[in-house]
This record gives sequence, C-alpha cells and structure tokens, in this order.
Amino acid sequence: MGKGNHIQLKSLGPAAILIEWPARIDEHINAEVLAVQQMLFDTDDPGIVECIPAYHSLLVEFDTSIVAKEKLEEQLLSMIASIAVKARKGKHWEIPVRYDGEDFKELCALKKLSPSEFIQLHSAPDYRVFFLGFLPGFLYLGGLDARLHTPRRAAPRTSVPKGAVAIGGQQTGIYPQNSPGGWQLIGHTDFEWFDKAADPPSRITAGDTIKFLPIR
Amino acid sequence: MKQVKVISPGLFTSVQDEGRKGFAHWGIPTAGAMDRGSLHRVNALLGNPNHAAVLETTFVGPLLEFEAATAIAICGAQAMVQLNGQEVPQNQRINVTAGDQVRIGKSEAGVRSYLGVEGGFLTDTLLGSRSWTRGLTNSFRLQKGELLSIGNATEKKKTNRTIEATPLDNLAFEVLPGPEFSWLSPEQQEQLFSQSYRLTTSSNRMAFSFTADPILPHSEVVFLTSPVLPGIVQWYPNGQLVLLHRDAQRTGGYPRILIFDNHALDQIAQLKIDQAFQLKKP
Repeated sequence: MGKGNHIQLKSLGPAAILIEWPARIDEHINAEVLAVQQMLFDTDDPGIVECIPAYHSLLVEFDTSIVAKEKLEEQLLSMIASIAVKARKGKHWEIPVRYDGEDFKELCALKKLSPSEFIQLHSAPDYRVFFLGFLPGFLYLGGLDARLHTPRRAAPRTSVPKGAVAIGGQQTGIYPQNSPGGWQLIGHTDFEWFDKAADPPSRITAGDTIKFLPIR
Repeated sequence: MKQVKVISPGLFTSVQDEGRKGFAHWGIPTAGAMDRGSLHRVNALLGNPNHAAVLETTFVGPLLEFEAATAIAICGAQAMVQLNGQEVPQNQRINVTAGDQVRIGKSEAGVRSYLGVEGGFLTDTLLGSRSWTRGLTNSFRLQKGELLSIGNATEKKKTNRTIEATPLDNLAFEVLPGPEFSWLSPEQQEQLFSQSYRLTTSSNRMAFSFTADPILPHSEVVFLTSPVLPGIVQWYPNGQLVLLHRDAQRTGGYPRILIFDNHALDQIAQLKIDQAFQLKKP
C-alpha cells in the first residue's frame, strides 16, 4: 500500500480502501478529506459505492466487478498528490437552542460555570461540520471550547429525544431522531435538517458551519 | 397487484434486499439481508434478480396467506416449513395457489430463514432499497394483519431442482486484520485467536457482541471517530469485542481490530447463542 507524505492507504477487506491522515481533529486535515471525497464524487464512477469521511480519514468502498483495487489505489494516490483544497463555500446555519437539557445544570456545577457563562461558551463559536455519522443525519461538530469538553455518560440513556443538543468528549452535536445515546444533554432545538425522502436527505453537509442561537 | 397477508408475524421478520448503497456518508446504514448468500440462493431459484426483496425471519418464522398464485422458496436456517399444514422442502421452488398458507416454524439449525416469492416483495422503496431499517424506514418488523405486495414471474427459465442447503456448521471464522490490529500486543493477539467465543443475547441486526475473556487494553486508548463498514470488529475499553453487522452505523468510536468478509458475515448471521466459535488467524 502506498504512502503519500503523511497520508496512508490501508486495505479494509477486498472491496474497501481506507485513506488516513494524521489522527487529530483539525479543520485543515478534514478539508483535505472532504476534497478527496469530492474528487471521487466528481469522477461519477459507477464502481465507487461509498465515500465515508470522518475527522481524519476517508473510507472508499467499491464494486470489485467494475473497479480493480490496484487501479483504484493508483488513482487515489494521484488524487492525494494533487489535493487542491478549494475554499469551498460551505453553508452557514443558525440553529436556535433552548439550553434546558437534562444534564445542563449538572455540567454547569461540574465546570463551575453559571448557566449564562456556559451558554456563552457553547453558543459563541462557528462550529464546523466535520462529517455525518452514527445515526442518519447526525452531525459531528468541531470547535467546542475546551472548557466544555466532558466525557460521555458512564451509562448511556436508552432514549435521547429528537433535537437534543449534546456534548460528548471534545465534540458537540444534535440528535436528529430519538435514539439511545451516551452524550451529555445540554439543550434542545426544533430545527430540522434531515428528511429521508429528500435528495440529498440532509440539508446540512460536511464542510458547512453552524452557530447556536440561545433562545428562552 | 398480488398480495400476501401476514396471519402471524413471527419473532422478528422484516423485508430485506441487498441494502442501500451510496448514502453511508449521510449516516445511513447499509441494511439488507444478513445472510446474503441465502438471499441470492432464494432469488436464483425463483428467477428473480439478486436484489429482489425477500422476508428475513429470526428464530421463529411467520404464518402467511397467499391471496394469489405464485411460487416461493425458502433458504437459510433449517426450520419446519409447512404448506397448508403439510411439510414441504426448503431450497427448492414451491408453487402456491390463492388461499394457500405457508408457515416457517422454529429454526432447528441456524437462525435466519429467507422466504422469496416470484417477482420479489414490492414494498416501499427508500433511498434505493426496500430493506426495513429501525430508525429509518416506517416499518421495521412485520405486523399481524399486514398485506405485502408481490411481483409477477419473470421470463427466466424456471427450475424445480433442489439446490444445496446453506452450510450452517461453520464455527471458525476467517478474519483479516483491521487498521488498528497492531494496537494489540503479541500476547493479546495470541489470546484473540486461541480463545473460544459465544454470541451474547444482545446480538441483533446492527451488531453482535462476543462473550469471552476480555482482552483488556493496557492503557487508555484514544481513538477518534472513524469510518466503519459491516464486518469491522471493534475493541471496547472494557475488553469486549463487537462485530458490526448490516444495520450498523457507518462511523465508530472504537479501534477496528479485525474484519469479517461478506462470507463470514453471512455465516455468523446463522450462529446460535449457545454455539462456541473461534477466529482463524489470518
């Protein structure tokens, strides 16, 4: 498997290749990941089945009856060598949030922050959408203030409500539907962006930015 | 349109095909038949395309009434299959007429049976697939009294021969190393391939958890959420191993130490909870 600078290709079985950048939550790395994803989408190759980005890696699944693995590896290496991260104009979203989550008071106490200080820290940044995963439409947001980083709950809840705004580790996110979940619940939004019948099913995509607007 | 009525739904029965492709980056699982080999066998017997939708049953199958004539076939787990109360064989095409009732009983060997019909089940399509997925499609399990639309026979040549049954006795699964396989020490790798495993009762369409002596990480492992696919075995901080199956999420927060290929995924979908199994060193 090839190495292009600090970027590695790894095999994930006969029909999947993983491209890995250095392991960290970094806007520039993620922008490169999304750039390669876009290059693959632009080829419009029917043999490419999935291109799944995460923080610092991209999983490419392909149809082995159409695409030869070695040829695809060469193609990927050449794409990686020519990454030109266009300043892609991601969309900016403002999402109203009521900071009344089940764990909100507990977290304020833990962090020794007043509710308004906590709200200020959570709602100040423009969060980058690094990728979607975990659940249909679940957004992985980067940029959470270090003072608000909190480990996931020891025991996950069997049911987290749709629209719950939450913190898990260094990440913040919104649950797009009712689901089991282990993140700390700090608030709630009625904002909807995922519609399984729409094309594409999510209005918000990786590379977009989000700002939370506190409401009463 | 021809219809099939659900008299009794069985323990957990759902419509499945080859799953959704091209939507994983929106957080949408692949879904589809857990034992793809049996899905394809059933469709081949009926002259259907590979991706025609079938019913996937779990442990105890449904009782169905056919409102119109068609042909069916059942592959996968070995169970008592009855047509109007009389036992009929699996792994071959069986003609049914209007009013006929078909029952798939408790699985004797294996776990999941696949019942196909000529022309396939024609239930709703979402994102390119008829597969039912909890949390995504409106239906996720068969309900009593439900009516399912089915298609018509294709022009393909029909066969009445019996095909070979799905092998259900594999207890040693071939695996490949995952991207984080090297995070295991030589001693931990030795334990991984020498110990015996069983599936826990929390195993389902999303993931199978294995019970065995835990393989404890030596120190706190920092692993950023990364893409996964069905077949990935995750290594949990408490030393447990979890195999992601067809309904699994497509990103995960735990190291990926092994990979089951499609054939191994098919086979493990037929494994009962009490069956001890091993992992073959790659």
